[in-house]
Amino acid sequence: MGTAIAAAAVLASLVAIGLAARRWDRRSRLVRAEAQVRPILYGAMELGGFASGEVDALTRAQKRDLEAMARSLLPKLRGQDRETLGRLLDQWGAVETARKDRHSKRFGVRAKAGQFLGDAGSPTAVRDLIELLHDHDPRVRWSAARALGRLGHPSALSPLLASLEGPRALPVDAVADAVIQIRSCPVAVLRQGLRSRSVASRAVTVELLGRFQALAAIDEVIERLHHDESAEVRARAARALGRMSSPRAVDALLLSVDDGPVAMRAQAIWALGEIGDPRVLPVLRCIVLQPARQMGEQAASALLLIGQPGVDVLNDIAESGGRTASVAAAALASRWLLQSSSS
Amino acid sequence: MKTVLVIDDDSDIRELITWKLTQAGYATLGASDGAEGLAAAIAGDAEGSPPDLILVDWMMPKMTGIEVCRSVRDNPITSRIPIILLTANAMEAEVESGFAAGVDDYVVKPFSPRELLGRIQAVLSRSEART
Repeated sequence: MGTAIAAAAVLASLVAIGLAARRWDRRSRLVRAEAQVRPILYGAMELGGFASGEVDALTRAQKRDLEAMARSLLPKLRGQDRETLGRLLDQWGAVETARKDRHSKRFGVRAKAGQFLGDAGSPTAVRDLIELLHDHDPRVRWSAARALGRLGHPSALSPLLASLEGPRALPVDAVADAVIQIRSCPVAVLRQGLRSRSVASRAVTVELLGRFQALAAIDEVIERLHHDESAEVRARAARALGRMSSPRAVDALLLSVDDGPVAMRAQAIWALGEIGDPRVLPVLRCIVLQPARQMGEQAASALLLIGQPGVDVLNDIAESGGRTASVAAAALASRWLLQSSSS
Repeated sequence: MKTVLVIDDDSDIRELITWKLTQAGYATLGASDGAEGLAAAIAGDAEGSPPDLILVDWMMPKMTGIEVCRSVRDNPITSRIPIILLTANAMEAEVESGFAAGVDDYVVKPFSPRELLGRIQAVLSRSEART
């Protein structure tokens, strides 16, 4: 019995060693192969294309390695080198293959195709990706939205905003993350979303107005903060006002910290810290002193955002030794830890 | 010939930058993490050829680019070497913390190799003018 166990153990060890050696060998072969074709790819990037007959002289395996390397490098670059790589991959048929892969039965293949089309930035990419926004798999839709964001073409704006609706809707943050990359996004177009009957459209609109720091729309965002029927829109409106960092939003946010949905109140407290107007110090102090610990902690974090005046308030509360002194002390301790780890 | 130390855990990027620098007439040293990069900078100095510039990625395992930068600045042997940070974080606060740690310039990922080369040349010229 003991001999059999020992033999099995030896056999298992030999198999493990064999597999590791095979992996190592495969890895070494790949490194060698890449080293061979790398100068050819870099040279082509430099010259804007391959020298005559250069690719024809390569073996099939080398062509495969070259394409894999170009695909891997593509999303890491921008500018002329990226354009050249995209054009080379298009010439090799990689874009056409990806367009076909959009109709694959496997969601992973469709998602990868979307990602590649966005990276390659071919002339048909926007249209192809808009089609993928309606895929039945949410992961593929998400991949298409991200790719459209990376492309940054203004014509993707309306389809992205429309993808918030219907049975195959994308989450608000997925759309916001994509739209924020379309830098030529007109605020006037976004503003229309504030009047939408759809909660998701209004939510993404206030989110984006905040991220774009669209001060021209601050009054409309304040209006959503006070009167929107959706708690999510109100919370995002509070966050947007914080991102806009305008003292004009302080009065509206001060009215929102005591009354309304919890998520909105928490975001309003944080936003007051981001704006950092001296008027908010006594209000945040009062919230820290209140028995509601969650809001107290949020207010303590907001005070830290303000800097020294906020720290002074927290020191005062911590030294008072009252019931909420521990909230202030914990916030000050976390600040101290952060400072000491970054110095 | 000026020497540039390239510290990046992404071999695609490290190899491409190294190739571009070599084509432009620079000597290069490469490292795939911060500790290896610091060791290369110190060893280069001991051999009489310290790097003239360090190009370091922000996000790396074991040691971030910011930590590398602080260690370079804290070490009297390497403290004067100019540093360019490669970063995906273009937010104001992140950039500010990079400069606070002592970087001389930064390049945002995805990056343009041509622009990076221009920045390397500019930082080296400034550094030369100072000494």
